[in-house]
Amino acid sequence: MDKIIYYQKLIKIGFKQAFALKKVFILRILFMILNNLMLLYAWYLMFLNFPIIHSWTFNDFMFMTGLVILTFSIWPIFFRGIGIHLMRLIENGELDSFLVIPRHVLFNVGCSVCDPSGIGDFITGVLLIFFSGLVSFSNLPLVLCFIFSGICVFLALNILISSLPFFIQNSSDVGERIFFMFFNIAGYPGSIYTGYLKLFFCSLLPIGFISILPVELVHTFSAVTLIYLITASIFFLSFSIFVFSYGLKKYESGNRFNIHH
Amino acid sequence: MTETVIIAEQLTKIFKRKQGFFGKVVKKKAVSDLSFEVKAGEIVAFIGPNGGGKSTTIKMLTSILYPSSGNASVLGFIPWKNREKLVRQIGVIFGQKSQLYYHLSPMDSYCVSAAAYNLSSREAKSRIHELAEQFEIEDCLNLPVKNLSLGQRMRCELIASLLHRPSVLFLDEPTLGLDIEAKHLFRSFLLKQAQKEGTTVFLTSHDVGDIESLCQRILLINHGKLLLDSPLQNLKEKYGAGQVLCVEKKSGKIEEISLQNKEKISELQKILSAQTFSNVFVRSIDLETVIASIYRK
Repeated sequence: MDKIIYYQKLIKIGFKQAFALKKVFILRILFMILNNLMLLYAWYLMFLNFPIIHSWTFNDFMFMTGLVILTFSIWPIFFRGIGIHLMRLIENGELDSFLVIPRHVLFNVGCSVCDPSGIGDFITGVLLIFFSGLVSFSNLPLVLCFIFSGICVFLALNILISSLPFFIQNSSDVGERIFFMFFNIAGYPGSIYTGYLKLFFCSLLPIGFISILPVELVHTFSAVTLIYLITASIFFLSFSIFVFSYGLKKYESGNRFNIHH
Repeated sequence: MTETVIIAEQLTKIFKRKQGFFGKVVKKKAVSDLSFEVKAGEIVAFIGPNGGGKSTTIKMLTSILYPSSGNASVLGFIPWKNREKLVRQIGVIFGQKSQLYYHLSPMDSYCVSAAAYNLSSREAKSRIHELAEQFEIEDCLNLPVKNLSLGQRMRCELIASLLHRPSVLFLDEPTLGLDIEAKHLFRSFLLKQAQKEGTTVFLTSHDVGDIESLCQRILLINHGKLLLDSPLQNLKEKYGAGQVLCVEKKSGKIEEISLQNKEKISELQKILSAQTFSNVFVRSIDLETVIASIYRK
């Protein structure tokens, strides 16, 4: 219980800090919604010319995009500290202040920063899922399972990439590029990934847990696939936390003068 | 018998760096087979020149770094194995690192810290006000950190680290950036805290004033090795800190005679009786000079 209270306060302070720059806060949300809608419009024009891409319609794509954006949005809103911020802290040896706080280092860093643009993503994601026409009252629990699994996968990928500086020096820039590359891969219609590529994205690099399997499950439900989706996502997240904890043993503290954002 | 709260046994830290893509791994020993013990309630100065291994040792004792070999125990916990349990009971202040949120007020940061240590909001508030009063910064608690002076910010940092009444305090350059008044306040607070609550203090500082006014014992480290473990008073006596009698001979040569050195005193009597001097004066040798001379050795 006290852990929940702590992280709740930490997230609240992250928001307060982001909101300290009010105009930037609002602008980032608005521009993120605009950015997402422009992207969707470009795909809409594409689907006007090719109404079906590998059996997927624009509605399937809308549902997938909504799911990708919504699950992705949880990262900037609640765990923005994980990613480039964490990688730089590791590289510069600035994790010390977090290591002397009696809480999990990873989530402590993660929840200490908030990026308001995530709220824009969240709003767009909810709207896209709702207007995709694939969600009904009866399959709402299923959609919630997809959201849960998507959050786990994005978070796990981010944690794994954030652990890179423990093993490879000065890898924060390349790490950030890799993460956004994964996000871009997840942003294409899942139906274009077939054969071994689909197998790869639904196992070792589980981007397909967000962009391929949910649409398939909405059309053809399979309890086995759903259980696989959820357990594999939890496993992947646990594995990423293990890798981070292992990497922490290699952490080299620095002596730069630093201050929280 | 007084309980031993900090134990270091042959603690060693080796940093490894790979040179180039296919280059060989270069190893640098920052701390080498370091062993010492600190009893509850002691105030120990852990000193040494820059790069001597002080901060690395503190970081191993506070669970920030994993050692390459050796053992350590703080309050019965192995730091790198029981990080969360240990840091709940210790306070750590790094003079050059901040735990406050830059755009928010210190009070906001304290609220989060209090939650991290499971303090109730009533308990936290009373402790914050007690500390703020002692450090005379009650007016700064609700201002954004970015608007505070360095001295005010450092005092706010100290409050953040003392909020949970730690039983062992690790202080790495705690008075860095503080003005004379703030340093004085900090030192008197720390002494009071140590006497009242039996807090053990493990301090590294390049400010000899901190060491002289706070510490009973000195651990001196250089090149990662312990060079000296001595009560402060013994160190002063052994290395002649205090006052020295200077005799300027007629030849212009100045001879320094420590009043603790009996052989030299008889030599002084000879010089005085022979009346071969032109001037006699007293010079003070401070602790800083003593420490610097030990570093040079």
